[in-house]
Order: sequence, then C-alpha cells, then structure tokens
Amino acid sequence: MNFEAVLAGLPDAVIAVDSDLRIIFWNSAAEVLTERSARRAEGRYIKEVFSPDASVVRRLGETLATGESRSEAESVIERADGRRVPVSIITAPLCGRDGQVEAAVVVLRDLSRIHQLEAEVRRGETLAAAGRMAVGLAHEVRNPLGAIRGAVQLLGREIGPDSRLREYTDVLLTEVDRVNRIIEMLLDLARPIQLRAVPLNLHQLLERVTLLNEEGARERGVTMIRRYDPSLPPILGDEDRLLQVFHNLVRNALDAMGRGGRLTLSTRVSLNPLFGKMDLGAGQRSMVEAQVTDEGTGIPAGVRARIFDPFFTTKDKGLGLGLSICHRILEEHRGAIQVESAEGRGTSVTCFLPLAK
Amino acid sequence: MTARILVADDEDGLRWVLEKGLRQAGYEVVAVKDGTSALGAFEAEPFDVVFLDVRMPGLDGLTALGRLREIRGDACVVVMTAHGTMDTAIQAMQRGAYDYLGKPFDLDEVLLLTERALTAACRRCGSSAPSSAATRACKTSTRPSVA
Repeated sequence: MNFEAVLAGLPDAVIAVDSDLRIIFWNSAAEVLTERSARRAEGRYIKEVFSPDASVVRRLGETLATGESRSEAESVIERADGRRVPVSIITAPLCGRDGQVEAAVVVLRDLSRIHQLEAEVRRGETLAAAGRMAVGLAHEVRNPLGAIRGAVQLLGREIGPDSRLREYTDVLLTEVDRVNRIIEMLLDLARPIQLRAVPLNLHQLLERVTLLNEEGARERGVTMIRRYDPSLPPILGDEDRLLQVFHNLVRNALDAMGRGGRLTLSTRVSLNPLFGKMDLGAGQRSMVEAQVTDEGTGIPAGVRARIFDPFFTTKDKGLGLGLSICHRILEEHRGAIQVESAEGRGTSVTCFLPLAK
Repeated sequence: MTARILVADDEDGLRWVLEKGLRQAGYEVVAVKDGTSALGAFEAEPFDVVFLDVRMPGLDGLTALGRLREIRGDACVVVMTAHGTMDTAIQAMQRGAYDYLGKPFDLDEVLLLTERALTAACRRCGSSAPSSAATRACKTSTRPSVA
C-alpha cells in the first residue's frame, strides 16, 4: 500500500500545499469536511478555497516560512455554503533531501461531533442538578404552600359559599395548585423514570400524536406531512413516555408556526455517525431517527444552547420544561435528541431511539 | 364523647391550619411542634388519630411513628410529608401508619381521612362506627399503658 492510500483513508482531513500555497493533496476526509471535491481543490491556491485570512491558510503560510509546525486546538473552517465547522489544526513542513521546506501539510480534525457529545453530557448534568435542586425546593415550598392552601380553605368557610369574596379565595386556591403542579413537573426531572419499554410500532405512535394535534394544526393552517420509512422495524420504548415526547415536540412545532406551513414527521433507520448505534448494555444496537420538522420562526442562534434548560422558554406562555423532560425521557431510553434550527426558516428536532432487536 | 386528634408538625402555619380545621369540624385537637413532644403528649393522654409530619427537628416522624406503635400497638397514625416521593409513604406504611398525606393537602381530604381513620379504629376495637365525624363511639383512646 502506498502512502497516498494511507492518507486517503484517514478519518482526519489531510491537505498538502506546495511552497506557493497551491494545493497538491486533498484526501477524502477533506472532501467530507469541507464539502469540496479533491478534483476542484487540487491545483488551486488554498486562499481561493478558504478565505485568505482563515486560520488554516495563515498557519500553512507560517509553516512554509519558518519550517516549524503550528497547531490550534480550537479553530473553524468555512464550508462552501458558508457554514462554519469547528476543527483542530496541526501543520507540519515537508522538506526535500537538502532540508529545504518544499511543501506543508495540515491535518484538520472535525470537532463538531465531540462538541455535540460534550453538549449532550452538559445537558444531562444541568438537568440532574436542576432535579436535585427541585427535591430540596419541593420540601421548602410545599410546607408553606400547604399552610396557605389550608388557610384559604378556612377563610372560604368563614365567608360562606355565597359571599362575593368567594371569587378571591377560588383564585388563591387555583394559583396555589398551579405552583404545586410546577413543583411536580420539576420533581419529574429528578425522579428516576420507571420505563416500561416494549417493542413498539413508531408510526402508530406518531399517528396517535397527529390525531391529538389535528385540531391545533387546522386552527393554525398547518399541513401535517408524513415521511415514514415503511420498512422501519419496531422500536424499544415506553409508549406513554414517548407519546409525551412527540406530543410536546409537535405542539412546539405548531406554536412556532403561527402563519401556517408544513409540519413534517419523518422516520428512518439512523445512519448518524454519532447516534446511529448506541450501547444498551448488551452490545451495540441500531437506532431509529424520528424527526419533527417545522417551517416556523426558528430558534434565535443566541438562545439555542439554552433550550434544554429547565424553565427556559421562547413562548409567551409555557413553563419551559417540555424539552428538558423530552431530553430526560430519551436519555432513559438510551437515546438522544438533537435540534437544528435556522432563524426564519424553521426547526428540526431529531429523536434517536433504539430498535427492538 | 369528642374524638381527640394529635397534630405534630414543626411548620407553624400548617399546624395552625390543621388545628383550626379539625377543631371547626368538632374534634378536640392538641398540636405540638416536634416528635418528642408528640410522644410525651401521646403517653400522657389518649388520642384517636395522630397526624405526624415526617421531617421534624429532633425526633423525626418515622421514628416517632415506631415509638407510638410501641406504646400502643393499634395507634392510628397518618404520616404527612412534603417530599412527594413514594419511598417515604412506603416506609411509613411498613412501619404501621394508617395512611399517608402529601403536602400541600386539601382540608376536605384531611377531614375525610380523619373520619375513615376513626371508623377503622372503631372497627379494630370491635365497636360500631362513630355516628358523626367528631363523635367517638368507641374507647380507642383510653389512657395507654406506658411501656
């Protein structure tokens, strides 16, 4: 096997340039990372492919000039469509027999998967911390809440059922119960979820969700579209909990589409390199992707990192616990949840769930 | 005779509400703020039903429940908690609690539970059920023999 074949097969992007910064080698991982083919890249100057002030261009220039290696643990490259990908950069000089620097090579490692995994872990930790706090908070809040509730009921008895003041005590009782329900929901984040996982037909489950939301979709002028993989095998999941997840996601999607549009539910066996296969304790299991895509307002980039935080919401009404609970339920299924959003274009939420076999 | 209820909770507001609510319903109520005082009161006087908070300073509710049951094997105890976990309820029932009440509770629920507890206590001692909520028709609350 020649060295070129070895370099071509590496999972990291390898790009070599000559002393004029003209591209002389571009492996297949570089094609995937940059979404530019070797045929279109080789022979061109690297500053024509990336912007002239891009880190990768600058670092290669420095290596050619000094003969020294350069590295950046966290940098970015820009794809042809303008999307930015986090990468690490390492350059090295390539010297001729006389020791002169003739070319330089750069290795770019895609950090987006690592960033996604780190975000997933952080999300889990945040939710666990919120859950612990909820347990402590519940005790401290429920005691005074109990006293308020009881005192209001006693007051209600004093003033009698026909008093015009009854309206006031009714409002107080309703609101006390609402506070208690919020605490209950927070406690849900802390309680271990007892899953009753059985083989499930995901499409039947999604159809139940669409049935529940048919009226809401009609009111908003939203068309529900199904793109189901007809050969999808059964998944392993808790029916009630997954209904809760997808009902939540569909409701979020509808809320984001005040002016109508299309809401697409799609399923397929996952080929995702990060979540396509998961270890369920007894070896690797293939995963299914169930996606809820809307054409709504999208999530502003500035708040995207916080959408799984308990009590974070972009809605006028709502507690901001929906996505936290979805995350928790999918985590218990040994699955995952991913959100992609473009402001003004819409949001796509993908749930990864294990196949039954 | 009026049925007698002992309430033990370190939360002043809750204690007041229970005392007031149960008194208005016609019961005779003694309210204390910790487990040790609850044991003292229970040893000194007869009670038909005891409402016991789980988390109290000093002697906690579950330990107090065990001691009450040692003093009188048929003590009718309702355990109250704000934790909202089933673990506490299961532990309380295993230690002989009559029932379990989660906070914040509904006052009507408390009164209903008290009536049920009194009926159960009467059934245990073999007399007929009380004719009204606040009337004790049996002698479950005779002065206990101190161990």
